[in-house]
Amino acid sequence: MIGVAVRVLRGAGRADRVRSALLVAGSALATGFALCGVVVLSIGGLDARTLGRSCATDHGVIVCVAGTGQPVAVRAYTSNLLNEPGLRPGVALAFWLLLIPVLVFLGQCARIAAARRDRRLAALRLAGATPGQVARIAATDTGVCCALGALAGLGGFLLLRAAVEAGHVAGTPRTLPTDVGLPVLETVAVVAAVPLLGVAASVLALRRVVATPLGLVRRRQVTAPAGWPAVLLAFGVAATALPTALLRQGHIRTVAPFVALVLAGVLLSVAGVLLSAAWLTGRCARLLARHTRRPAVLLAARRLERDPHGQTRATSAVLLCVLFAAGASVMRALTLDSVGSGNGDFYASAYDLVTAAVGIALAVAATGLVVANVEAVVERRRELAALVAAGTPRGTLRRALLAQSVLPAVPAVLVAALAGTGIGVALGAGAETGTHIPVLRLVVVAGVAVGSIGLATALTLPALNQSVHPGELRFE
Amino acid sequence: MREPVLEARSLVRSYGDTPALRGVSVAVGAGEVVAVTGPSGSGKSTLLHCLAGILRPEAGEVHFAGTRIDTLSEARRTTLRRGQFGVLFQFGQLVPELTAAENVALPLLLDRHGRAESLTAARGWLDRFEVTDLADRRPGELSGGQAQRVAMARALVTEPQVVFADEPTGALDALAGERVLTALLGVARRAGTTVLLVTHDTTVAAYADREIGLRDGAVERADVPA
Repeated sequence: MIGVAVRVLRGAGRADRVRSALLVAGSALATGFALCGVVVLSIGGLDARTLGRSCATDHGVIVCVAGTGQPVAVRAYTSNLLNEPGLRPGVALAFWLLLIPVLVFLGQCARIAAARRDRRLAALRLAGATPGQVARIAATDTGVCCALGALAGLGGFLLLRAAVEAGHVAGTPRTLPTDVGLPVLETVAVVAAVPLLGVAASVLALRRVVATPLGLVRRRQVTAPAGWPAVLLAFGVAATALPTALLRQGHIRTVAPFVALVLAGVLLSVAGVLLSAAWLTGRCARLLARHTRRPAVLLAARRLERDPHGQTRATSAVLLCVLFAAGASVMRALTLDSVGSGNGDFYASAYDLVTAAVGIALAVAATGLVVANVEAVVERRRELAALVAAGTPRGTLRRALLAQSVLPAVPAVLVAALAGTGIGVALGAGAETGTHIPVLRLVVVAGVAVGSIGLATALTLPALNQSVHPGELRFE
Repeated sequence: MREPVLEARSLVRSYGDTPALRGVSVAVGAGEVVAVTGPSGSGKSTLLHCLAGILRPEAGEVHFAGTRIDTLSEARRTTLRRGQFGVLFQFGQLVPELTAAENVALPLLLDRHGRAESLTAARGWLDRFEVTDLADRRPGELSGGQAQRVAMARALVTEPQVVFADEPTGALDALAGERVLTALLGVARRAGTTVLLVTHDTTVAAYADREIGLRDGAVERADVPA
């Protein structure tokens, strides 16, 4: 099976090669993020043996008695997020959460050249391959690329780690834990898991494609989004508040059930946001399509009305970023208010790291959106070329593409920001300083998200210009 | 031949190293139905695209109603195609998400006509092609012949002077193709619209007033079918 898949890959066209390259790059990135989390969790306690008799440890902060007899505090790392053992699981979790947008990206990459790949799979069916064999060949196609990406990610991680460590000046705290070795078992698990996750993401992304021997590709009816996810969203936000209340009343005494309940609430909220966004997109699109007289808006609205899930799927990673960024913004404000100026810098730097992580996730999500948009344009190139040939200005098509991305993004981002705010308030319900909503920061989060969606779409416009080439109209 | 409304003079166009047109000159009279025929790769579609202002020739001139159009900007050629020309292809020309009526109304909306006015006009044209009852359906819910009728309504909704049809029956069975062609030419002849029909099918070409045969990017013959 692998042999057939590799032979098929070797005969691939340019679009297939682009897909393979992006799958390799995405998998390498996923491996890098996963290994970062592993390394952070592998930072051990430092003891006197590693540093000499004059040293002792206290929560990762190395206290050395210098020759002068004066105690000097030397930290192992510049960031207290790495020095404090209690914060390291949170840092590792942040790295692993970055895998979500990367997996969405991998799913979007798997759709590239879908039409060409579908024809290839149909040809394989015609040659006698069973549906199961065809599905395995398609999965192997993605799996091989993801495995190569995982190995490349491991290699890149080791090289980068060695380069950073080489620049370290002895006796000074390290910026990154480059002194920590990679645990073999966890590393092997990551390198094995990334291709499996990549395959899972692509199978999920292509679940509606069915190749038949006749070369037909049947896509199951896309169901219209329902309004019930709004209830799911409200329930998720409320559920997030539950563990905080239980903790305050003394019903929860350990960390594990608290974290489990919070995660369950957040996951419900995430599902609620994504499904609500699709419903909201469909509703807004229908309303616009019925009343607009602008051709660009009509084209965009009808496309959105036809497949509201498609656009939400493309922007889902961005919406997740908004949810987490909004939640973190509220919690940051509540935390900084409650701790006062004493530990303010420490917590501020911790939340800055969260902001940086969300920023990276947003960049990955926006890249995935570019890929999804380009693929959507390429898939419709004949229709677009025919429209231009019939006298539709390219500007109308450009505006339609922008409207298709930005119009549904505004309400969806608003829902995600509100949900994130709700989660932040729910988690910070125990704060003694009352609820302080950082409105300006939330507006910036929403603005950056909508802006990144607009920018990602703007980057698609050159592909649109190429796709409306009259050569697409040739039938000979 | 009637007074030429469309004229090509010594058109040259190639795709990379492959020449598609080698100095083609043709003239089409007002209200005439002309078939451009020839084997695959003879340059039929390229000639149609150059005459419709979709492609610019590398050399030569294209004149429409006394105006040279190959030197116009893309924006002006687009406006010309929308207002004075109607374009019809083999398939894949309707926007799948729009209803049949909205597809037909699209050129009018692009010309800044009101929504209600555009949709009323669109329904009128759908009626002429006997597909009024399909106005609210989407292209995916139409048969090939029905979709071509909707496409013809869209090509004619702006009442163009010339309709360019590139293998309009190529994706249809013989009976559906005949019905589509009869409907198109019937409406065009009544309105005095010039039709340039690209086809490799001699039975389709027989519907035309005149046939221009191409081979290897050059005019082989320009005569009236028997």
